[in-house]
Amino acid sequence: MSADEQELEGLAAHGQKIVIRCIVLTFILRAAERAQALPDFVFQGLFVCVMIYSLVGVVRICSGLGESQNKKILFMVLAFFPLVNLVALVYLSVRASRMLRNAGWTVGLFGARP
Amino acid sequence: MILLALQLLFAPVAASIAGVALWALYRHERMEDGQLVRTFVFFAVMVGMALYAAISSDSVRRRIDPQFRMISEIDAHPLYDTFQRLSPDEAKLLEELLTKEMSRGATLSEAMLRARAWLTAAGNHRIGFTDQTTRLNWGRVAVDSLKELRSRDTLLCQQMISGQKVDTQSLPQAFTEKNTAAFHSALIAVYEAADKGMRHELPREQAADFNATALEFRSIKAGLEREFGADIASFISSRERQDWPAAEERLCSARIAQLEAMLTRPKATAALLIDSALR
Repeated sequence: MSADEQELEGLAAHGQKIVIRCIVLTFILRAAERAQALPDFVFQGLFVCVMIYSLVGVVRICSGLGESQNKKILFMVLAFFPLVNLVALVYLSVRASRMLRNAGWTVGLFGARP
Repeated sequence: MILLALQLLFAPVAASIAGVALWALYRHERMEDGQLVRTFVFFAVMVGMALYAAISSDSVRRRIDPQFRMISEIDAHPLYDTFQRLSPDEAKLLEELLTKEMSRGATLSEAMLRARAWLTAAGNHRIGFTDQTTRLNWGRVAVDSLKELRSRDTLLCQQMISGQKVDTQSLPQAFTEKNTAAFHSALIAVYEAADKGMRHELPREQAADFNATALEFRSIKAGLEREFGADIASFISSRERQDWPAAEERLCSARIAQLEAMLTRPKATAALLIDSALR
């Protein structure tokens, strides 16, 4: 396996971990928001942080999967659409899992390891 | 509704515009991941701020937010402005009346006309605190308004006189623009003068003799009895009116005749008579 391929797999694996964390964080934040556990502006700030964090994950997975620049930007934009962002993140995570499994990685619930 | 949709879609819209900008500016380059994210976040924040500034501005809000447009129109009306300055509680009631009508599709002018009975009652309630000139002007506008009502709808005229529930939907067609403008201007004058009166800032005027005014009142009532009959004269001259059983032009004409007769008396007497008849 070449160093480039290893780097791409590493990117995809790291991006997938971030994406899975973001999915879980989004569910937790939505639940907390419904319970009105914190003031609205705090939730808005936290949602923005999760969105930016998910951007990093999206870009890393896309780079690992060898996606074009346009697709990267498209997925980055989709990360800001409520509900659509979850679908996009799950889609990217599934594709990353398939790629990593084929490369011999072990993929678990919270990400992959070599 | 549109404003709510914009608020919900604020982040997606900002991100979409930022995405398009990023693609347009860097479509021939292959950026490192970190730079890509930084540039995207930078554009998204810029577009978000620009969008926020745009939808927060009054001119844009007036276009996209019907509620805000209504409130802005109402705020700019000189009559509402006077209410807000001099009687905030009544201004709140007036705003509720107007927004209720405007949310049903009426324009501000139509809503003001539908609130005419309420506005008339508000003006009548305050004339006791005003000076004689303002009271007489208010009386003249009342006469002109009743004449216009009589020529268009006898039932509406009767409803306005007897204090029955007025058919507000018919009111916009009942008054001319000239009469409406005169009514608003007279009502503003009543509120301004009443405010000064309540603060004892009005110049002292020659007061009418109470007994002589009472005699004038009886003489006007006698004239009404001769012309329109005792039942109508008592109904018009009484403060505690019960519902008049039928729509009659006589009732309207009698009220107009009564107010016109009062207005022909000397200023101080006429002002006291108008006050007692309208309040």
